[in-house]
Amino acid sequence: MNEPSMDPPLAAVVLALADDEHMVGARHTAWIGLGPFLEEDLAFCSIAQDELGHAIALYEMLPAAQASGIDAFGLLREPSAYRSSWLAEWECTDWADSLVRQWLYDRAETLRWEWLREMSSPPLADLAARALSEESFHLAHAEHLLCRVMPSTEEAKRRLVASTSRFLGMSDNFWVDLDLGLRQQWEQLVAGDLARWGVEGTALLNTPQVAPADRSVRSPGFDAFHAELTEVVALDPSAIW
Amino acid sequence: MTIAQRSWNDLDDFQTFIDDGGIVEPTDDIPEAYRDEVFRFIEFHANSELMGGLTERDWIPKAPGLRLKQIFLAKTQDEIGHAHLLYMVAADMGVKSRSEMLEQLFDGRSRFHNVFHYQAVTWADQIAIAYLVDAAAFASQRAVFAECSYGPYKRVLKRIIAEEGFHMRHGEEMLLRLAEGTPVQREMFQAALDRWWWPAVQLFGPDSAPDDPLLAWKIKSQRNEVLRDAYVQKYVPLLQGYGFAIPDEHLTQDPDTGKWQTSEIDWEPLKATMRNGGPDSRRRIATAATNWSDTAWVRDALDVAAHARTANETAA
Repeated sequence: MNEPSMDPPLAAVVLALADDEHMVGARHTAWIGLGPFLEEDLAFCSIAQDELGHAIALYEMLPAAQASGIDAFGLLREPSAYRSSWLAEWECTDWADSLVRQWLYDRAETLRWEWLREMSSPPLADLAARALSEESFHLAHAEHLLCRVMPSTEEAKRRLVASTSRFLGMSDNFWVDLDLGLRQQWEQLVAGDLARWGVEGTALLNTPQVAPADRSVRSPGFDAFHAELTEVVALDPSAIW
Repeated sequence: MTIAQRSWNDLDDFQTFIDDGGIVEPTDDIPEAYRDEVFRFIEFHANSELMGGLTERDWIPKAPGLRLKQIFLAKTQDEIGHAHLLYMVAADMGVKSRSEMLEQLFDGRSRFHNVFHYQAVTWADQIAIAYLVDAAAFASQRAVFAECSYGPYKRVLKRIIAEEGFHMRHGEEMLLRLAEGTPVQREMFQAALDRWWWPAVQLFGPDSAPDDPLLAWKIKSQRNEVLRDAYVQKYVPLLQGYGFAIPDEHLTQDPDTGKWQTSEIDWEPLKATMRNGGPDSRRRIATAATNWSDTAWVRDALDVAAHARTANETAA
């Protein structure tokens, strides 16, 4: 499954996208069984599986991951070798954070997959086309829930706007080196969504940045999360699980 | 379309209908005793699927591989999906709404299977659940499906059993990896077996009462002790064949019949779980209850949105 024409800049994009998919998929799993209602549990579980599937497919295209195996590559690198964003890595202990992260992330992810579909060749372009068919469901999930919840009560609006502000403060970190001309488009889409849901987005999009514009710097909480991800595999490096 | 409501003169008349293989539907004039008993059974099953998902979720982030994580996610999704289907079947019986059932579960006023009152403390416990507990649940559910007299439950069980069959085979594959693995893996699984063997055996419950109405009304097709014995006869030799020791000092095998006989079962641990007093009952229920409370704002917002939409449609 190697991508024969993958030059170093494209490989950097693929690695960042793969690590983002891995981290966001792994973080989504924290809500399994604990969503606000059962249908939401099931939906979030499907999204988490899709994101992990995308991570696996992307890792398989990276020569470094092919050499070490995707589990070793995905789980056992040094923290500084990951290129995931703070948005993807962030521990969401509140459902509002988790839902807003899913919306903002999938808005960006869709643009990136579209870019990969247009700018790369098979098999990466084929993977992008397949992933986009799944992303449409992820975006529909966020849209259908947020359009009803965000404007409904003062508490819901307050929580969701606070979450939106929190994550928009990580935008520089998310787009650094990987803008690909997409950040402006993303911001327009986010502002459009917010407007439909009765929220003025201009001030939110100018939220002061709290995360470094450097994807080699891990987010607070990453070390503990990484230790959790590798707890079993580290028990016996010679074992096949 | 109008659906004719079937009714029965008395419980004897209803019993004859059941004995003749009749299937009860929600549109029937269901005898209250049958409705209450079957509802309790389905509610217990639904609660168990949900709490089972919560038992397994603890180790999903720690799954030692990305594909394994996807697989355990899918399995947990199945369990929650089963709970979802079963709560709908139970709610349609008109005894409690889904919200009432969930709130009573999170208040500690409802029951769920004994095995989900224990905590998975290592990855091997996750495998023991997949191998031992899913197999016990599969046997139990298949016995209910066999002659089930309540139509909606039987139809939902068909799907549940199909998925549980996959879970059981997945458990077997995962166990084989540990059985054929390193000393660390084998020690982990033996320790897990020591923790989970008796709860799995106890899952089938004490011997059925002679007049168990669930047997008479064909919700259960087999007595508890029959299912439990079949499980012991199957899993003792399998586990020993993989080189693991059954944690039962007095386990014997009849030299003539080859049948395995466990030591006398101590039912006190099972009774404790039925009082929500098992080893992990408090944490399990508290986690679910806290989260239910913390996410109430989402349900409230959706209720407000739904009422506003209804009001707008009415005004138009």
